Amino acid sequence: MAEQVNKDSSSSKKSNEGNPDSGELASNILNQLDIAAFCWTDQGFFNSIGTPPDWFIELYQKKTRAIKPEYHEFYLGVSFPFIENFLFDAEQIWAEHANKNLRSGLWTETVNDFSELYLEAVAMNANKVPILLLMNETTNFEIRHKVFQNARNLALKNEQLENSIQQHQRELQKQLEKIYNPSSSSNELSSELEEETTAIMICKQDGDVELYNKALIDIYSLSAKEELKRQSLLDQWIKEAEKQYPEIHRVIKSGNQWEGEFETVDVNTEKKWVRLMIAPLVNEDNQIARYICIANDISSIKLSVSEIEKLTQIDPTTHLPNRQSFWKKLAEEIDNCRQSGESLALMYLDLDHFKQVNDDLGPKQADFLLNTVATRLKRCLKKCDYVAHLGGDEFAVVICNFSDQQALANIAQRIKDNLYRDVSFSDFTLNVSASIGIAVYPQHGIKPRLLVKSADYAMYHAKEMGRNQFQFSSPYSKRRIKQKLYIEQGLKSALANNEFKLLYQPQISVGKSTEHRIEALIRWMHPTQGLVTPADFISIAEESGIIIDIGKWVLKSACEQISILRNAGIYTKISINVSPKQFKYSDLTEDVRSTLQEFKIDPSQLEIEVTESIFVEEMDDVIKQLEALRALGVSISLDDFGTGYSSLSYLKRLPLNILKIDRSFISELPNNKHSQTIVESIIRMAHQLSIQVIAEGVENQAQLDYLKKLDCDFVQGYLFSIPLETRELFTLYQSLSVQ
Amino acid sequence: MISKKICMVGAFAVGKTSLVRQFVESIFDEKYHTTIGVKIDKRQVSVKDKMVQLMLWDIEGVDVFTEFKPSYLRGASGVIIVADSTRPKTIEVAKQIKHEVELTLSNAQFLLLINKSDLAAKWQPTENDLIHLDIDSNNIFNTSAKTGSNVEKAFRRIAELVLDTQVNG
Repeated sequence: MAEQVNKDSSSSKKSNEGNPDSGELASNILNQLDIAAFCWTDQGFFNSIGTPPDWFIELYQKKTRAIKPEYHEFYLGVSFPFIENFLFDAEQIWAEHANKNLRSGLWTETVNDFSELYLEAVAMNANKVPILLLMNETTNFEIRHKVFQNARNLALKNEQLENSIQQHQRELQKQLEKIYNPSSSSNELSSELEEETTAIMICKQDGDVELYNKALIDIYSLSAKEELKRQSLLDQWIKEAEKQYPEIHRVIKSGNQWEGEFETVDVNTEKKWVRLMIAPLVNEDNQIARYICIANDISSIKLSVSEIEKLTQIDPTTHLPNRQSFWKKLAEEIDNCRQSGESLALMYLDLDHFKQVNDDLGPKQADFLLNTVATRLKRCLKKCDYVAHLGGDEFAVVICNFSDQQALANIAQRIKDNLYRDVSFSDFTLNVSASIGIAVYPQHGIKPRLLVKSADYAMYHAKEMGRNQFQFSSPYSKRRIKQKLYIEQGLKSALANNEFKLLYQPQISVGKSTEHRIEALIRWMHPTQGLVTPADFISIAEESGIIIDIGKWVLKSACEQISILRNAGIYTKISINVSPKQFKYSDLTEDVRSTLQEFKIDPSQLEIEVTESIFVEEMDDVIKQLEALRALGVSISLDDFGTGYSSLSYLKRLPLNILKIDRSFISELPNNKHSQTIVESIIRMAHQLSIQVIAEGVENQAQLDYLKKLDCDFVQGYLFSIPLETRELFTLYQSLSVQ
Repeated sequence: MISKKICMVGAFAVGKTSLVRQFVESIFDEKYHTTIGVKIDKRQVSVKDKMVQLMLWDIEGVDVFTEFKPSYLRGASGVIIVADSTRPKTIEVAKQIKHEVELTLSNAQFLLLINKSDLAAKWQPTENDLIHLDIDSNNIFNTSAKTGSNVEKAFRRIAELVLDTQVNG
């Protein structure tokens, strides 16, 4: 076939004498274009069309070590491995006789130590003749290379910049945490931090700015520092970030650190991208006192090259799709479902106690943990399911194909089981668990943001229910969480507004003791919701740390009451409930000592009431504190005995005076045999250990008679008295003295 | 002499070209010079008393501008996947490439080189990475094209692997 081409070329030369030779002309054009053109022969070699350009001859000689190549016949496959590889695909094109061409892509050939050729092969058919063109792209290469080099340099710098910004913000936050003193009125940024190119702002919970540096002024193009003082950025940031991160409010309110990237506007309404970190700053009582906000203007990274942005769809820690990608995917899937009428499920996962892991082990190990979680998540889901890492310890799963709610429950259970395994680090193992919230489109939200919010509430509900579990979105979970946030918010001002009060319930001696005792019980008179019971706010107060302040108020109020009663000639002991947090995070012994001193109270008139939950952790430390309290002269009682971690072995180690049998056993007396056995055993055992016993929840005569028979020391319950206001307490004691 | 095609693949700027240059010419250049397309180099190594010529296909790194071209892999006996110890993203690209290579080649031998070991590492292969890559730990090397650390060892290892495949096959 190639021969035919040459023959045609030669005959054409003869018949066109006097006219430009078309073969020569073609050869000249190809040479000028730096193209070596060949016809493929089925004998395995190529016939050149015209005389090949010099660069090709030189290269071919070098490759084949031929002094001078044979006329027109070139064994390209043997000499050039790249072409040999290309020929597999080229032959298909030639065999099809199709009017299309195939390009090989660029490759480099070294001519000598000082020069390289950049070539590209093209396979095509011309009048059904198989043609191979070798195009010398060396001249154009430099421009192409420059474009690619610049783009990749930029991409590389952006990648490094993003990593270093993230790292730098975390380091700054640690530094600020160490140096900033929330209780001091004269904090100042060092000149180094003042001149930081990263923006720093420390503000109160209401957004009132306390400290900031110059970079913050620069990002927001503020004309004078005064402007910032008047207008807090915290609210603006939360509103702006909320479009992408609907849970930001909850994360911040619940005292967790938040990091993310979002679009913001400066005072000139110019749009910018910032990477922001908001970290709570806690005071000595472990309550949120301030927020540390650290921001970088990352507009240049975000806007530099639109293609490079595609790379930012992946989270660098877990290599899962990131938050941006998640929103896009969720919107697409909801759109699809809207058209097809199908459902989709969103699972929102939050690792349990991740903050502690991060604090204790450091960011590297925490990243390792996140990575392992990501792997496990992917492995327990189908390929068509979508998993994203939303940042921090939050993950999302989008599931499109499921039959019903039970199928979703099965998937959630599978995730839970797969995650709930040990993670091995170099020298220790750690157990990981997650709380999962599930929301279904369209039942729980027809728009992405609503669906995410529903799943987030459900996840929060799962945390509420004890963690390591899943919950479906429900009106109850939404109401419950909203209520919780409402209560949490209200608790912050309740103390200042004097909304708490103590009621007093007498504990009546049914044995030999003549001691007068009462238990102080806290109540919260909410300004709009009325009476809020401890069951509705104590756990929230414990979680948020406000319980420590509440505990101090209870101690003070009870001691004041003892003093008032004593001045009225009534000598009674008051027991107060103390939270495990008070043992862990405050100097309880010192608080008790100073309060007793303040009100000049006989320590034997005060009793500290604890529950078994204080012994779950650091029992030795708790015992030391209890012993110190006993040494002051106050007595100790153990509440709700029998319901928690009741263990006879620890009972004898504790410096207890009183043991209170839980009302659940008393309510079933005297008929329930099991309750009889338990109550009888507790009283006998307590007496053997010289501990007195109080039965709680005594409501009828039969219960009282039975307890008397068992030599119970004290009883408490509605049979004698409901919890009383101070005024009613006086009336009761006055009536007793008359009797 | 036995000739074996080995493909160097990975994200852009991980040091594929530098590794080949270090192995073939014992040269290292600090400046990043991006590869466009393919460059083929060769070097002979002696493995188990046999001379093997490694045909090293240095293939342009994958990024948003350049798709991975499976056709370049045709006939390869070994694939060296390169990642950068200072850039966590590059292991993700390595995983994607491994997946694509497996769709094209059924019997190739794999090596993972975590390059730039002369710099402070910013990541380590996780459980997830190792599961996805499914590469024996004997075939993972921390290399430095700059200092030459483990470079010779790694290329010799791929030579052994591809030779073993031929013997066993």
